[in-house]
Amino acid sequence: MRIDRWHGPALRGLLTPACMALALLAALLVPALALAHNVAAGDRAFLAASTGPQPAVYLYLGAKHMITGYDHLMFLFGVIFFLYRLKQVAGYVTLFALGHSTTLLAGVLMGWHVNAWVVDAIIGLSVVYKGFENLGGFRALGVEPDTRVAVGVFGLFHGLGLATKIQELALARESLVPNMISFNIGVECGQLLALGLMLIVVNALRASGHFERRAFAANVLLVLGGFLLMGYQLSGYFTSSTVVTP
Amino acid sequence: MTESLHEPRRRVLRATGLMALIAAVLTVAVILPAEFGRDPTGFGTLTGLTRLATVRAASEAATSAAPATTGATGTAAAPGVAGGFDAEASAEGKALPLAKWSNKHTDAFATGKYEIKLAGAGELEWKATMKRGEPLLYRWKVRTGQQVYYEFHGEPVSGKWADKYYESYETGEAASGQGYVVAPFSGHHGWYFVNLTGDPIIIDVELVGYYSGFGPVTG
Repeated sequence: MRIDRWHGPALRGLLTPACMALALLAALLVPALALAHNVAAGDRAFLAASTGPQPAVYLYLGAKHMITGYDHLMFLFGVIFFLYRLKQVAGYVTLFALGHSTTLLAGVLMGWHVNAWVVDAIIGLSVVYKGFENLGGFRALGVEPDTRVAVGVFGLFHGLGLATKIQELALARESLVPNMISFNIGVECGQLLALGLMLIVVNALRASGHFERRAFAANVLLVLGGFLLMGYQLSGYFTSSTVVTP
Repeated sequence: MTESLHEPRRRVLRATGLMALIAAVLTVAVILPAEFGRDPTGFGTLTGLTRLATVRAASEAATSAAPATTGATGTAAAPGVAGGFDAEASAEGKALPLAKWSNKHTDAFATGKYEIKLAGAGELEWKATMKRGEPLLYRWKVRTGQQVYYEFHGEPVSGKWADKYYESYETGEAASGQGYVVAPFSGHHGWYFVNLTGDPIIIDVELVGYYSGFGPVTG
């Protein structure tokens, strides 16, 4: 029966050591959940009490935000999943970085106040999109959207998300630009660090044999995670609509 | 071009649909009650997940003594817990209703003038001990006129309250303030100040009322 065929490999795939490594990575990120979408209160207190350019501080905060930003990481994981050559990885990651840097810088400079729940829901959608694409979903539907365009466009939304986070820091006007650039560089540093870890995990998956099965399970999980992110953010959007936000 | 899997169309679509369904169920049954205190299915109350949101809202209110957050990504406050004077509490821990209140005392009220010294970018908490229903008039001013971040708040000392429960009376950024409070519960009432400048400042505080032991809170 089809159902057996469908459940069997997916479930077995979940139990393989490589997937357990994935689960471990996810578990490692769990303590960061509380941090991921807010700048920690202590960090904010510090920033409220400081003025002037603080390159090291903002560099660190940018990197911290990326490392603890599981939504960015899930998307990145989806993007590099089927990339074999380092050159390809570098190409897509650069594209993503260009996308999110553009909206991060533009959003903060022009003072866009986008709804963070909505942006974060779209970021969740980007995770679903990439997982679905990795599963061959678009090919199955007979459409072939350009991956590069998708990564670039979703990169723009990730940047909007970053912009809302840095705006929470209530940057002082005088040193806005240097601090924001430091934050952006920090984001890229954090991304490179996370990328290194991911490549190790994906390569372990690839080397373990039965890659296709595990790839299926991993990307189904990615789709689930993306949907959950969307559910969380949309819940926040609809429940907070009655709360007055500045 | 990125590679992708070559799975049968039905398999991919079924898996994606199933994941969307699982996510939708988890969102409504688990995330809504646990994170936002809404429980459309009743599952949150059944499993106690809803309490997670309400208790967290109260404890976050207690730890959010840092400068106020802005932006929409903040935590959604559970209704009726952290805000207002109507927190769920047993008789002992019940806040004073906002009603006319008169009280005759045999002992004299206290007065005091205090100097709060704040280092550059420093933060401090100064509190007085007050009994439920007792009044306190206050006036404070930064000697050199700079703005500070402040939160005027109180914490109960006895009774059954949510963990780290506290009531925020007033918060903002200003160079001075004056007014009064009627203690909604017995406990410690006072200010959390953050020096927003890099230079040391002094805040002069003047108090009149039924209070005792106004001083810095350590630890």
